[in-house]
Amino acid sequence: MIQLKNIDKYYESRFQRTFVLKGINLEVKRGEFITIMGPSGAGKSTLLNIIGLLDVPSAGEYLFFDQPAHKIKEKQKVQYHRSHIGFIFQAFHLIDELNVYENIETPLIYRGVKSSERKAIVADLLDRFNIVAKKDLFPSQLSGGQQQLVAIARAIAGKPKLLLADEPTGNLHSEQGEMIMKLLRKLNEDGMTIIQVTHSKENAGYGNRIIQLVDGMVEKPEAVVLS
Amino acid sequence: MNNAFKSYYRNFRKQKLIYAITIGGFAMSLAVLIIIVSYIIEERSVDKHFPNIHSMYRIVQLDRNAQVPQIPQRTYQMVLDRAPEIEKLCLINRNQVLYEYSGEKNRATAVCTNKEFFDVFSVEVILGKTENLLESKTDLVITESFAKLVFGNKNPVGELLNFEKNEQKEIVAVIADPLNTSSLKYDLLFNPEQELFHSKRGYNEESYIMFDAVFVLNSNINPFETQAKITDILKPFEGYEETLLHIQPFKEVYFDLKTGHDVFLHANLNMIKLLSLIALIILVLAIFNYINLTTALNSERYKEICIRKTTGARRRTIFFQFLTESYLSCFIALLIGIIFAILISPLFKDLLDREINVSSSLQNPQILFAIILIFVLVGGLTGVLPALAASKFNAIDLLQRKVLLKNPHIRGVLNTLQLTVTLALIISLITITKQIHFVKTKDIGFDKEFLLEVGLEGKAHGRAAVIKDNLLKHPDIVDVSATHGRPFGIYSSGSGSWKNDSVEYSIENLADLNTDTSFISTFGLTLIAGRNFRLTDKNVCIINDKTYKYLQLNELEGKSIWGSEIVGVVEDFHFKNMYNELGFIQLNYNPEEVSHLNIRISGNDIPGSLKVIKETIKEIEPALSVEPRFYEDWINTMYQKEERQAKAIVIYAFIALLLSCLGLLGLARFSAIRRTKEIGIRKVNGAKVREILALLNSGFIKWVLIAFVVSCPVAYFAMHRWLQSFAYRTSISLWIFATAGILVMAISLLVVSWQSWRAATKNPIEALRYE
Repeated sequence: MIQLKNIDKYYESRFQRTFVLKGINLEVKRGEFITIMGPSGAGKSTLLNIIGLLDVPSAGEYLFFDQPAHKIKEKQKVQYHRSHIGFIFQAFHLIDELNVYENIETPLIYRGVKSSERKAIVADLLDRFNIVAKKDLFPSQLSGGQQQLVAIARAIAGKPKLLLADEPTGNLHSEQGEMIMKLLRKLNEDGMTIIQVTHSKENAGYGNRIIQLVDGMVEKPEAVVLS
Repeated sequence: MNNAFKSYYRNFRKQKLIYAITIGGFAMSLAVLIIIVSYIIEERSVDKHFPNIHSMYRIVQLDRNAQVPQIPQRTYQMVLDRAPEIEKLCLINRNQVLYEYSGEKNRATAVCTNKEFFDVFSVEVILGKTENLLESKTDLVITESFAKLVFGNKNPVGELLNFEKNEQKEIVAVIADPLNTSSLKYDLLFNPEQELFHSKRGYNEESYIMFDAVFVLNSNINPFETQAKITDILKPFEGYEETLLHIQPFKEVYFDLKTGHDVFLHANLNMIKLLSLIALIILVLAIFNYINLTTALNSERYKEICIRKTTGARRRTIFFQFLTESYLSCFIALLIGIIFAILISPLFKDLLDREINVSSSLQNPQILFAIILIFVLVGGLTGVLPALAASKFNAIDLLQRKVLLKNPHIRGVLNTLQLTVTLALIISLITITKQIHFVKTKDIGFDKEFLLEVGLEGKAHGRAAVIKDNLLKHPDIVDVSATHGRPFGIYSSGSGSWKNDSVEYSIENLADLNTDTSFISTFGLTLIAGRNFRLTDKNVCIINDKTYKYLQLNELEGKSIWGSEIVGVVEDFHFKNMYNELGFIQLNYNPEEVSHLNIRISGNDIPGSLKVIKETIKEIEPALSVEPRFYEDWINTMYQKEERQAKAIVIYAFIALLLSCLGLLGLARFSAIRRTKEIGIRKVNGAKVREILALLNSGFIKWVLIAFVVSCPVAYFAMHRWLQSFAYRTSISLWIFATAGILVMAISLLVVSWQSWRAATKNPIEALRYE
């Protein structure tokens, strides 16, 4: 589904190239739950951004759903953001001015889903995540875990094929973190391909493959035995 | 210090355009402000330069109906006898005269007055005798610039100038020119005994020669006492039984529009007040917008401030840095503003009818003080506000962007107000332009193309028939008609009643025009009834259709107006500008008493025809050169007041638009910063740039729409009233409002989109990266 071949990402200043990523090779198959791990500054987030078509590699080949990413036009990228990719962030990134219901609805509006259909999808998600009672609240009125729940609901509202999670539990305490990770695993079991970036070994355990990044390079691919 | 300058320079370089617009916009508003204030100061200083100004008064006649600012000459001595505390009393009359020097005749403005004039107005004598000036009837005093114009560098004292009616005068002295800020302008001074002058005004009896009277009062005397002494002087004179004399401080004369014609220039104080108000509004809005924009720009630097704070900068250091920067910006803006003002002030000369001397008004201590005050205030506010905001919160909060950039409602309201004014001005501008076009192109009933008018003066006066015959010898001169006055410049009209076979008729404002047999053919008019004039006619007239219908004459047989037999009726044509309804006119057959020639040319060789006309008249009057004028050009000059208004509105609309744009720019910048995160999230969730633009811009479109809704009725009402001064009005069409609305909307969108586009095209990971 996703293939990265010899991906480099560097920033050029007048005298030198600073590599963020170097020679990354990675293949992601449908239904996988991949964890990217590594110390701060290893390039995890950059890699995730490249996979999510928010950033472009400086060199190498990236096949996104078997299509060379460098040939995807800006307009097409927006289409992929609408239909193929969902994002979850460490800081949740809900829109402060919108309530829970409206936040979840946002990507559906951009996808051009009809109003009645939107209602049904959002209602279904609220129900599934047990947050029906909170649908009229604003992000500032929710706990961190609840905010992340809403963010996940929003990310999967458009039924993406790929879910990208950047430290989804980084801002949560362990109990809430566990709840979120379990939810992600559930989504994966239902068929969603997930790539997450995390610091925590424990969270990595929820996935089925770990990529270790050190200074922009893959240290060793490692299979994870499902616990 | 060095650090502060460096940081300023780098910030400027990073965002050149928006910094340039912020400073440039403020500078532009300041420039216009400086010009308007210079103008106001200059207008307010008119006549104040006379050393006697606080003890100068003029005498005004007051009766039930009118204030007349003149007194009869014979009361001069009586006033002095009754009120010995009047130290100097001068009588003034002013008129245009024709003078002749070395075979050339030209016009000049002459004042006839007595020798006290020099003391009352503190006139400085540069050359010639200084005592007993204007004692003799043949004395002539000229101004410096007139001396330069006529005599060059030659000493003019002792030279002779010839005037009409074979009067010859000798130059006895040269005086300094009246200052720019003097309400009395002149080139020449005569003594008061001038037949030349007074017969022209129609006053033949000495007792009724009227003069403006200005005097200097002994400063120890209460002016009310003096007034009481002279107030009943006119009563013994026939026809003046109910007239009182009043005295008016001379410093009030310039802004006095109520009193009738006098020799002084006047200005409308309300206009000055209005301009002052406009200046104040521009000042407030310019300062507001500037502060708004600079604080928006500075708020992007919170991170920089935090870093400085976490590395140990004290509150005072940050304050100092911000103040240095804001004063630097403010200083640059002021400097550019002053340079702008000097550069663009010539554009305002035509508009304000006064040369604006910016550099001299900058030497005015009040202006200087005002500029320094603006500098201190604006520089302080733009520096202190963000510095205060920054130092109030602790560094961690700021770094975590917990400080929400507030977007207070007041900004939106003020912006809407600016947009409302802009829209109203643009609507007015289009309406005025449309009306000017309407009156200029309106069918006036005769063909004004290739029709010229020329005045007959000097020896040409009274030789109309000869000139006419000579002109008609040329093939390109189609037709010539002599008139006394001419259409659009009618000299006389009458009101009253008369009897025709015991039937009484009456009419108001019947214009009359002496003319000859070729009037109708020259102006291309059609005779509706009766006949044209014949060379043998005496005391006959032709009236226009409107008069004919108004008088309900039914037939012409035996009808006359004030004893002049009506022989024909001509179709209606306009003979006054469009402020006036098409009027009644009576054409009298009187080819002798005429003042102008109306000439229709073929248009095949316009320069040739003009040359022929000039030369033909020059043969009769070699000393005078005449300028024939096309009716079309001449009629167009009648709407100069409106064209000037339109020009003024262009400037105000420009300033209003500039201020609105700056305001919108600030608002858009603020909102883009405030919503950076939201935009990032929306983009990640699949929003297109177009959708983000729509989201950001819709907020501003709302302001423009409100402004539009408010401005339309206001502008409509104002323009409806403005149009009332015209008898013929263009319609205030819907498209005017639509054009103004679309224009302002388009410009606003452009300005706002610039910032929205910046925000919408930013890579969302940048917006979402920092937590």
